[in-house]
Amino acid sequence: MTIWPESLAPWRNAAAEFATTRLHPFACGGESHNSPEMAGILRELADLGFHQLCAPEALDGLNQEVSTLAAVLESMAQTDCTTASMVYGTAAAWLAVTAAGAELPDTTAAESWLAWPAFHGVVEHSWPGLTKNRLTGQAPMVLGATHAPFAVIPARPLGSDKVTLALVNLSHKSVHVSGALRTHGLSAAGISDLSFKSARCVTLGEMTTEQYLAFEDTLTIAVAALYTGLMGGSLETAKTYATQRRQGGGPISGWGEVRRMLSEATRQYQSSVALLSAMLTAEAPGANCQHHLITISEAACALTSTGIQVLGGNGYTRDYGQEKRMRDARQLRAMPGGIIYRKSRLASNLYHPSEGVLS
Amino acid sequence: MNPTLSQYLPSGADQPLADWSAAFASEGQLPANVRGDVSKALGLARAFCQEVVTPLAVELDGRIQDSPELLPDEFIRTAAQWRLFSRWIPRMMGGEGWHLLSLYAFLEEVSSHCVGLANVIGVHYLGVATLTATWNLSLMSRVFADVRAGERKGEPCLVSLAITEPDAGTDVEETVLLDRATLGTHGQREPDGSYRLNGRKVFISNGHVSRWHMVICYQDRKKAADTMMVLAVHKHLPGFSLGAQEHKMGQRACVASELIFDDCRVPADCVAFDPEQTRGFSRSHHEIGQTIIDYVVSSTRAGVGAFAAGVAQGALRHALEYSHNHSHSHSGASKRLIDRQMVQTTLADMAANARQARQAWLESAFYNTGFGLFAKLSEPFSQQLERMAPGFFYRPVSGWVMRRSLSTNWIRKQLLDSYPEHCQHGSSGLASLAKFTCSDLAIENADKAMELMGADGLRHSQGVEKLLRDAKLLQIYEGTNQLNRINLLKCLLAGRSDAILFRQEYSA
Repeated sequence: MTIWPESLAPWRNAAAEFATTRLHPFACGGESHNSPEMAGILRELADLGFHQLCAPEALDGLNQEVSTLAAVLESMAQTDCTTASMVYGTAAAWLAVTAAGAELPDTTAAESWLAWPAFHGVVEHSWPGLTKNRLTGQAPMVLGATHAPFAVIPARPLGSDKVTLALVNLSHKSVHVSGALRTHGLSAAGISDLSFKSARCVTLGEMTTEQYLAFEDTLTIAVAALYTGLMGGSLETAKTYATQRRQGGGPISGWGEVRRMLSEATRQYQSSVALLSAMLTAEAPGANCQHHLITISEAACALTSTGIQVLGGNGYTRDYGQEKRMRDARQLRAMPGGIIYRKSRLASNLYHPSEGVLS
Repeated sequence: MNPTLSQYLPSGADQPLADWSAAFASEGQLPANVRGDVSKALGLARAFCQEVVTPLAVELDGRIQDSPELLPDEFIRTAAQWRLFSRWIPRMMGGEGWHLLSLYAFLEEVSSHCVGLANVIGVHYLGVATLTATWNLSLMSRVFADVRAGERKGEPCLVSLAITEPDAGTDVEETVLLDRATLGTHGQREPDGSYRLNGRKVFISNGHVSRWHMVICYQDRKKAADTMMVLAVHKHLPGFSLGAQEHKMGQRACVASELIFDDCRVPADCVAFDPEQTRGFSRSHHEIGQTIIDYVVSSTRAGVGAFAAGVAQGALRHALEYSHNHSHSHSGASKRLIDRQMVQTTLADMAANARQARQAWLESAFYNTGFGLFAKLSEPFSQQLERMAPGFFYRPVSGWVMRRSLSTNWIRKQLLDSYPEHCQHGSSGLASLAKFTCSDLAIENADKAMELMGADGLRHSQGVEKLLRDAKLLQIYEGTNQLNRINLLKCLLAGRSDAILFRQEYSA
């Protein structure tokens, strides 16, 4: 089942080719953020322009919308979700800048990977305070912070309830970047805690909380694509293994229970792809995208667990990439923001859609 | 037909009561000391967790992630100082004779802090259970004395079970499938009764840290069920070597090893069980082999249930603590998670899951005590003898008795040749039920805890994501949950029906 318009085929093909040729060997064992392999992959991705996929044209970016990003992420995540998440992080930062209607004055940053706090929603966390272009506070679990020279951080200006996007140079001495955190999934994506002590920053425009929440809704499309890619990879690996592994005198694909598991996984995958299609074609992302993403994330968590189960003990080892997919699926569940946070937000919205915040 | 559990209970048992609850019906078989042993085991587990497991669990997991070849030697030495490798071995064989039901309680408690470390201890008793299930008293006496002596000298002696092979996993745990399995390990009998062992075993828990390996293998790979053997392989035996360690998703503290046998000569006195030893029995070697496997898996699958109940409990503990200490904030106002009804009902569901899991393994463990592997060890006479007889007199006498081949033959006639099929089915079916029910509930609770904790739950330092990684293996080892579901049907529901089991339904 394909949901992508023909115009996106070149993007998908480029991402798929990169994944097949470069990511496949890395996908099973890549757990270290500072390995030479990871550095090489990021360099090659940058050479191909993937880090500027959603950067504005004025800054030599490719100026693509979220649908193109989703197409690329899905192709890439089938093989390796960690690398795909790095592309997501930088693209999310650019999309935020665009949503805030800002212009980026620093062209050095425009050519770089950008770190982005992908795992906490805007009303879920107390973001750093902003006073006269100085940031103070914490930004937890920032994706790509050990790789990227700059980060885009949502901040709260003093005396305002708006959200301002702040561009921070991570090498500045008033910025503390923790070492790469040991996380459940996306282990090589260089996720770090940042703390700022009156750190100088460049402000990139501001949004009301409601505007920011609408932007988070847009990001759900990209996250959904990460999920469907991940699910497709897990399902294909399980189906192939089932034809090769013999138990009780024949391939396990001949066992009714294995067929049931694979069939159930196929249903979860196809339903998720259909939901992604609905998200891509919606006039405005809105709350429906949050509903769809929660359903997709539940399906992905179930499917990737089945993906291990079909392989039995082999699935539990690093060798086939299935255990990594299960961990990555749980890690994605906190994008954008924790699931309890997002469910609470949807419950708040039920009778008063304009609220859009936790009550 | 109307299948009921009672058809698998001994004829004297209260049939309606047994249909209602096998645990309740088995309660009358429990020796008086069980309650005291369970209470002691829980106290011991809590002290052990506080002092040893909790400070070590997450830190060791991280170290092994960075250095996958690292072995938990220091933990094993500490556990030996706490005498955790001999407490549940009968006194007559050198152990302390704590009732095996209390082992499950101990393992559940430790698992609620770290399944990997609990498994280091639990897997040792998997090896112990395998040797015990053969009822080779002489070899049991020798190996278990080694375990006790190892603890005394500070050189821990662990026992492992080696059954899984590179091309055979689920199918080696079910004799219906065994003859169709792609087996690679086999033993060739020599004139002096020894065996020349060749092949490989994989995913062997504790392989790199055990002194004795109970290796299940076959004389004829085409007639595996008719020629099944259990050989006790000492780690220093020529021809035996250790291969790779698996890089696993979780339970990292418990190493999964490859064992390699290259013309490994296993002496005759280390043959725990082979076809020669079942000559003259009324049941076939195949049937007795299935009994041994059922004895083992009936006790160990309930143990996996206890591990899983521990995970479910541990996840609840994490979630509860987090909910009390964290809030969602917005515009300066914040609300603790515990004050949200969505969170309150999630916690209630998790508490229910943890309790249900415990009930499931308890049902299986009670049945084992009354009618399974532990039944003989739980009889009032042997329990009294175990408890009351002075060690200086009892151990030499029991040792002399156990070394006689007549003793082994006598007990095998009682426990292997005459073991009622209904008991075998009852214990095996309930163990399968415990295994898949508890492990599914463990995954559910670990997942709920992570969901509730949001991004914080993804941090390794919080410990809750480790619970999920650890729990996933519980759905796989000791027979996948899929195999166990079919085994439940075979043992408890199919009865005398002509249901076709373990058959390929589709062509490849």
